[in-house]
Amino acid sequence: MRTRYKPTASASRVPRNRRELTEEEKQELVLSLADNVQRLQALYSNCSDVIVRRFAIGGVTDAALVYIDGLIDTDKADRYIVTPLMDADGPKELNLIRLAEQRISVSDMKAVATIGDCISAISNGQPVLLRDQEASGLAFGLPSWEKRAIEEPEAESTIRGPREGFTETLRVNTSMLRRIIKSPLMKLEKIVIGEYTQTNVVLVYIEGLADTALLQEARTRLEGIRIDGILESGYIEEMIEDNPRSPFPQLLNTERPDVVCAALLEGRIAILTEGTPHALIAPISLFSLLQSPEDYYQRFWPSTLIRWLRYIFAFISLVLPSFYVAVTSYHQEMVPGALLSSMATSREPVPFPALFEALLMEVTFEALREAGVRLPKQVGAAVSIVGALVVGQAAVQAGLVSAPMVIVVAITGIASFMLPRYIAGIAIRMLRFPLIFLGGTLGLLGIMMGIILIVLHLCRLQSFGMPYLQSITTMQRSDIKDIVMRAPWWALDIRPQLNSKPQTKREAPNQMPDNQ
Amino acid sequence: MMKKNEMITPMQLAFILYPTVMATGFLALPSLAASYAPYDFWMIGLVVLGTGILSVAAATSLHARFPRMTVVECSERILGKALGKIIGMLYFLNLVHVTGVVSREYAEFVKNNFLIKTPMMLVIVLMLLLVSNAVRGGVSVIAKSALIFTTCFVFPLIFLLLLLPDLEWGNVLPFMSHGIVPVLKASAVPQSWVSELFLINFFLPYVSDSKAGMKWGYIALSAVSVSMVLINLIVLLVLGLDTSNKAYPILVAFRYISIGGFFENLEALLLVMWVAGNFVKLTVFLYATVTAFSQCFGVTDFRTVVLPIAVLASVFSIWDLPNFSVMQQLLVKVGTFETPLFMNVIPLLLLLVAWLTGRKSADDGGVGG
Repeated sequence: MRTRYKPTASASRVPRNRRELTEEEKQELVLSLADNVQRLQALYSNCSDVIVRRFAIGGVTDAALVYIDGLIDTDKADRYIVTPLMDADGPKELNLIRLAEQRISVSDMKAVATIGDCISAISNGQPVLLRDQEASGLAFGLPSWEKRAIEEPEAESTIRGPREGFTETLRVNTSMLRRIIKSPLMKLEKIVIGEYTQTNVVLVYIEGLADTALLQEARTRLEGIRIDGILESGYIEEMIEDNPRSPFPQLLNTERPDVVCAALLEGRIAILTEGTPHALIAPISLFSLLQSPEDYYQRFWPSTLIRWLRYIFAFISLVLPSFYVAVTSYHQEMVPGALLSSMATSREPVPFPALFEALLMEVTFEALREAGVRLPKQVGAAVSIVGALVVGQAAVQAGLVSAPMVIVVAITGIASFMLPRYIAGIAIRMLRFPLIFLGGTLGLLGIMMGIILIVLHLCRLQSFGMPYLQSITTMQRSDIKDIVMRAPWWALDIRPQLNSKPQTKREAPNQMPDNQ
Repeated sequence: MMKKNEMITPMQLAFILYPTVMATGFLALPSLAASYAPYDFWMIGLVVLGTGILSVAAATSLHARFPRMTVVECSERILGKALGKIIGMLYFLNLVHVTGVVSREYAEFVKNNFLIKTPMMLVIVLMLLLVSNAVRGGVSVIAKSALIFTTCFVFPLIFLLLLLPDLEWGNVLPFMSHGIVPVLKASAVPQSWVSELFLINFFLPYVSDSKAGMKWGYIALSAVSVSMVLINLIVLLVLGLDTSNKAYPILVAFRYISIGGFFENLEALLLVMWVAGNFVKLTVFLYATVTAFSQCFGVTDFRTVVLPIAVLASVFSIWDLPNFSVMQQLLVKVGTFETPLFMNVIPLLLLLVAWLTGRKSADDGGVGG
């Protein structure tokens, strides 16, 4: 555990994590318009996208509108800011705010007093209006930039369930959450991270459901991040994990607003980052990684059975190759006679020991998969054909690998695709290789040792202070019934136990429909 | 770790205790017992209840009299500093010895049945490394991992039900043909295993609710008793008089399983059981050893001494134990007396002295024994 996460250390820390403001940025605006504009232009020197539009309010008072081309809706700016002001003919002594209240029909408006305020407004797509003889300006919310449309999340597709996924635009994402959870108790706290990118990061939670200690911890960790830029939530994830060296993810990333809302309703917190469709959810347990959102949308029987299938295949994808290596190398007596002879026949021409064969095939398979992800979609088919032919058929016929090994690798591959969370699959894929080594050197004993080591690691692991195996090691009935099975909704009446906050009811009593 | 005051739930206690007795017991005990009472050894599961109750009662009443203290700490309270330290030292020596012998038992089985060419020391050292890793994680890691591995340990026992068609019910007869005495003789060794339930004493200080802890202690005892009866019965019904000739009758029973000509050779399951169970057992023993040592010598952070003590235990695992049969002899001739001495006799004497002198925990005198 790194000391910087200890709650005691947080009190002494600087609460905000904005970069230190430079001398220019701290300066207040002055009365002279020329001075203000000149200082802004100096800061934005060589920035061809920054536009300073000078005009005269009512044909008398000098004013300037400063904005970044492409970030604002210039049409609206012309129509609702520049035109009405130029046409204004009211008394000259009205201050800027009064003038705007009378003339400007833009709903989002706020005053700016320093150069730094101006810059943060301008770079967020808010044109700043400055007037001569006025030591403050106004920023208008007219942001408009090209954004991707809401699409179906590709990495987390479901058969039943909402089909919209987050986009790269933070406001669109928060609006999707707000459309689902309308209660004002859902809070969205803004934190700015990144010295240069000044990325907006939003901490989402439902007041009263989320543990206050957890929230405080999340704020402390987020505000502790000092970095030049945040391009993806992955940056944040790695900076705030409990155990940064663990192969297991301690935050869940998702593209689905419904998954985030489900987590919020359970008292978890979510972290949304500007510029990425991936939200982070914390705290999570091992089983969060094995649950698909669809589990909760289908009826409970299929969900329960599929969950079991998933557990079995998660285990298979972890141990099957190493088990095969161990059995063929050390424990042949465990294989039933008929199977053993057919295995031995196909292994006979293979020149490599099983350990090497397994590693070769697994590495090839991982390479094929990675190639399939990186290649343009049109070429993907070619890769899979070549992969199937080369790795499958030809290698077996050439006697380089045995057919059972190909089958084992294929089943392992399919098993790892079954995991609903990509990141969970990665953890298991990585751990498979050391297990193959252990299986090839110490047989079944080695695999057991490896599994014990993994379990011990999981026993220690925490996600935002919540034990990773919490739900099974405490054996709470309310948690178990969402793990061993997916209990029907009318029975899932208690929120899961997270951290130390007492559990709360999420349903009125007796929700089970009457058996007609 | 984050929290100083780690807590475990009372139920986890049962999951810790069950393999502490059964991990080696289910494999070694049937043949040891069968040599004394070839027809009636299945009853030992019931006879050992007495020792078990004595152990759990001694552990919990010591803890009730001296809350939040282990036997090592309260022996100092009861007998004074010098004598108490000696008792603590003896506990340490006994526990490190038993840890060594248990890891030897574990390694013997693995070496003789699964990894015949692998050096014994490697098997022992790898296991003790894992165990030290768990112990360094503290009580909560021990408890959590015990929960998972005890489940792994119990689950394969279900497969013994596949033997139902092969059971030869006539094997239980003649029933008690030589009276109760052979059964009592046969249970001399198992009761030393069961007395190890006293190790609950080392975990009670971390149990949130010690009343419930006691309850789960007894539940663990009944589970041990029931599974001993069942396992011994199955072994007897499958192997009959042959039981005492086998080093590991359960292994033979598992090899016996054959369903549909394909579902057979399930020894792999036995290995899983064996490793998982012994992992928990060794974790418990090593933890108790380390606790005894650090409390006796006032070590502030027990984590620092885990690895050295594990090394010491690995020495005890080979010292003076040239082969399997010598180890069996040690278990029968020495273990039968050594373990109950520390797990039953000394705690009961301590309780007696405490009761006579009326000594209680200084900081919390309200709780009586």
